[in-house]
Amino acid sequence: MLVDFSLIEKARGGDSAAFNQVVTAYRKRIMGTISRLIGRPEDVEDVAQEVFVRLFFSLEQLRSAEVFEPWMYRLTVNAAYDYLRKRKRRQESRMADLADQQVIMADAQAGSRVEADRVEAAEIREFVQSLLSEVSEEDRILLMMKEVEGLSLKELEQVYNVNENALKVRLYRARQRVLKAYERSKSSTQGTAS
Amino acid sequence: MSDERNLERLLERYSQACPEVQAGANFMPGLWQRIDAKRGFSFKLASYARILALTAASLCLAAGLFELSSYGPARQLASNRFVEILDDDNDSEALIYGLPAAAEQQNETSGGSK
Repeated sequence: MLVDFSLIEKARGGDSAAFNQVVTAYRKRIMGTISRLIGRPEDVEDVAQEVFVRLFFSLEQLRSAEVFEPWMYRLTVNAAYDYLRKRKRRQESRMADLADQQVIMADAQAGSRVEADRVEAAEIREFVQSLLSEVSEEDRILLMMKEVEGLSLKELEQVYNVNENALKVRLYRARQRVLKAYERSKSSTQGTAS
Repeated sequence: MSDERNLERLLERYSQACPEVQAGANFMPGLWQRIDAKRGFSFKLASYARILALTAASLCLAAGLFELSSYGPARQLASNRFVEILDDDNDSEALIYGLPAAAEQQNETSGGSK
């Protein structure tokens, strides 16, 4: 826990200063999670604000301060779902990302090591994002929470409100789908190379 | 190395490759703005609901009072038991049937004695 239970209790009681402290404590972690879940740094702040707005209005429903962190993760996961669904509906083009990528590529040609690392990081992000775009938002977020955020099965149980066995099945299936997408992308890359 | 292991490593690298996003200076003011906007909407919605409930309650009260005033005797009638009503009704029955019947009986007895 990043904050005391008493602070959460105060925030639940409507103490704005306590709520501000909770936000400040969790902001970095939540923004990091959102960044990895949605893969669009420019929208992270907006989604994070939405998470904290939902937190503000749902604090009363929180059963006890002990379940605060899974609760926060659940709000984060839901906000990320909503964002991804909206983005899918809008069918946004990824031209902005491509432009960024091209700029980074051009910079990298200058030859500096830092720039090369940036390019590599951007390539990894781009590749994983394209891989995950081939599976559903549910699979994507579940896998991210487990593999990237490092949540345990116990924590995921609380976030998703399902039992461990059901979670294991869902995780296995999600992993298999991503693995298939990975194999496809690998074979298509090899095909292009040859 | 198996694909599964490769994927695991790729996801690990992805975690490191994601840039750390810092909250801007407007994060907290923006957050409170959104909270206030939503709170304003909820407050408006709650006050509309309160007004609606109050209006509905007053209408119910008025309808109840009207009902009471217009069906007063009927309600009294309904509250009596069937036997009591019959009993009360006896007098009026006597007015209609009772007197001629009694007179007829009297005539018969007087005629019979003759």
